[in-house]
Amino acid sequence: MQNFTTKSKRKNKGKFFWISLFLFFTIWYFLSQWVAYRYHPMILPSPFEVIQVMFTFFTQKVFWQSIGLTLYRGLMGFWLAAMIGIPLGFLMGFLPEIDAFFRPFVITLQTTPTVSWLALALIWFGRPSSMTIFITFIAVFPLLVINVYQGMGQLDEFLQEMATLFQVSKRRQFISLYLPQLLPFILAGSRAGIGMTWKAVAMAELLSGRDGIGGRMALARVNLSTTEVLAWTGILMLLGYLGERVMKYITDKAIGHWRGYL
Amino acid sequence: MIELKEVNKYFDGLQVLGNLSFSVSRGKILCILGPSGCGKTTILRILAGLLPIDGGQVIQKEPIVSSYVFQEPRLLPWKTVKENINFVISHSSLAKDKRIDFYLQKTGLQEYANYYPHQLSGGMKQRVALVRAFVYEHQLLLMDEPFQGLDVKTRNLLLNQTHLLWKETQNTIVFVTHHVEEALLLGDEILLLSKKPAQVKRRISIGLPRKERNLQDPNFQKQYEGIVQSF
Repeated sequence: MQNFTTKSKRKNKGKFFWISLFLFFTIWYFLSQWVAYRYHPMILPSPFEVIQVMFTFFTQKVFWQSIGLTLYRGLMGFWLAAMIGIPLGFLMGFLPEIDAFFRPFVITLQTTPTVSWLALALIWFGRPSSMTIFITFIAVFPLLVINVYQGMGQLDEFLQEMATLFQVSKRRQFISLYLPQLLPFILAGSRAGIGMTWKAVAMAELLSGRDGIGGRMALARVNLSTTEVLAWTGILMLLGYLGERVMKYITDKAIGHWRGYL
Repeated sequence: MIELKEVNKYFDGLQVLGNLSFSVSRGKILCILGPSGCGKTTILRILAGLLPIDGGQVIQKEPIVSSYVFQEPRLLPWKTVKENINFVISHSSLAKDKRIDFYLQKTGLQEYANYYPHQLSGGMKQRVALVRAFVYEHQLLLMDEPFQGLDVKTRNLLLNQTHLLWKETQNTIVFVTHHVEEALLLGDEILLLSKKPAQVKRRISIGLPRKERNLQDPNFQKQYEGIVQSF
C-alpha cells in the first residue's frame, strides 16, 4: 500500500513535469507567431526553428570545435579552482591564523561583481582562452573554498576524539577521517561550481572573442540571428544539465554506499 | 596499576571530585557505580590522562596505554565493520588480522565484517566498538556507560561478550555505569560513589565467580538490595 502511494505520487510528479514543459513550448510558439505577425519574425523565432538550427549545428565542424574549446576552458578553470580552492578551504578550517589571513581575500573575490573581473580581464589578457579560464576560476573558486570551509566546521567531534584517543596517525586521520567528512561538501561545492562554470565561460567568451560557444553567440548577435543565439543557449543549458547529472552520479557513487541511500 | 590519591577537580568553581582516592588493580574489572552526573566520566578522563587535576595525585609506575568504549559506538560511517576496527590499528599484521577475525567470531559478528554501520542495529554497533577496543593494544580499558540506551536483553548479551573478550586479554577494565545489575554481574570490585563532589562511599568485592552470579539468587539479591539502598 505504502509502495503504491509513493509510486503513484512519483508518476504524478512526472506528469506535471511534462505538462509544464509542454505549456512552456506552446506559449513560446504562440508568442513567436504573434510577435512575427505584429512586429518581425526575427525578434522571437519559434521553438521549432531553434531546434532545427540546433540539429544543423550537429553536422558542422565549427560547432564541435566550439564545444571542445568551451569545454576545455570551463574544465580548466574549474580544475584550477578546485586544485587551489579545496586545499585552501581545508587549511582555513584547520588553522584560525590561515582563516584570518585569507578571509579578506576570499570575501573580496566573492563580493566583487563578475563584470568587474570581466572588464579587468579584457584589459589584462590578450588571449580569449586565458581570459575565459581566469573568469571561470574567479567565479568557481569562492564556491569551493566556502563549501569546504563549512565542511570543516561540521566535523564530528566524537569521532575526532575517538581517533585521538586511539592514537591514530595524522596521516590516517586526514585520509580516513577528514576527507570522507569533507567529501559531501567538496561535491556540493563542485556541483554548484560546475553550474557556475558554463555561465562564466559563455559570458567571458561572448565578450572576449570569436570562438567557443560564447564567441559563436556574439557572432550570431552581430548577425541579428536570434535563432542561433537561442540555439546556443539551448546547448549551454544542455551542458549545464549534463554537468549536474555527472556530479550527481559521482556523489551517489562516492558517498551513497555509506549514507545508505543507494 | 594506577592509583588516585585525594584527587580534587573543579569545573568553573564547582567541585566535581572531592578528595577522591582509590586504586585500580591489575587484571581486574573495576566497576564505578554512581548516580548520574556525579563525575564518573571525569574520573575516566583523569585515568586516561586527558584531564589535569586540581589537587592530589595520580600515581602510576609506568606509562599506560588505554583503550576506550564510549557511550556511543563512534564508528566511521564510511567504513565497514572490519575497516573500522583496522582504523585504530597502527601496523596491521597477519597475527592482528587473525585476532580481529577471532574476536568478531566470538561476538557473532563475523558475517557482518563487511557491513556498514548504518546496516547494523544499535547493539551490534556497540559490539563492534567493543571488539575495536579489545583489539587495540592496551593495558587499561576504559568503558563509559557503554550499554546505555540499549534494551535489557541486548545489554546482558553485551555484558557477557565483554566478559568473554576480557577472558582472552585478562587486561584491566574500569567500567563506569549507573546500573547496579551491570556492576554486579561484571565487576570483580565495585566502587560506590556519592553524589557530587564524588567520593568513595563503599568498595565492594564480589567473590562469586561470574558464572554463578544470578540476580534471582537470594544471597546475590541481598547484595543487590544493599547497594541499591546506599545508592
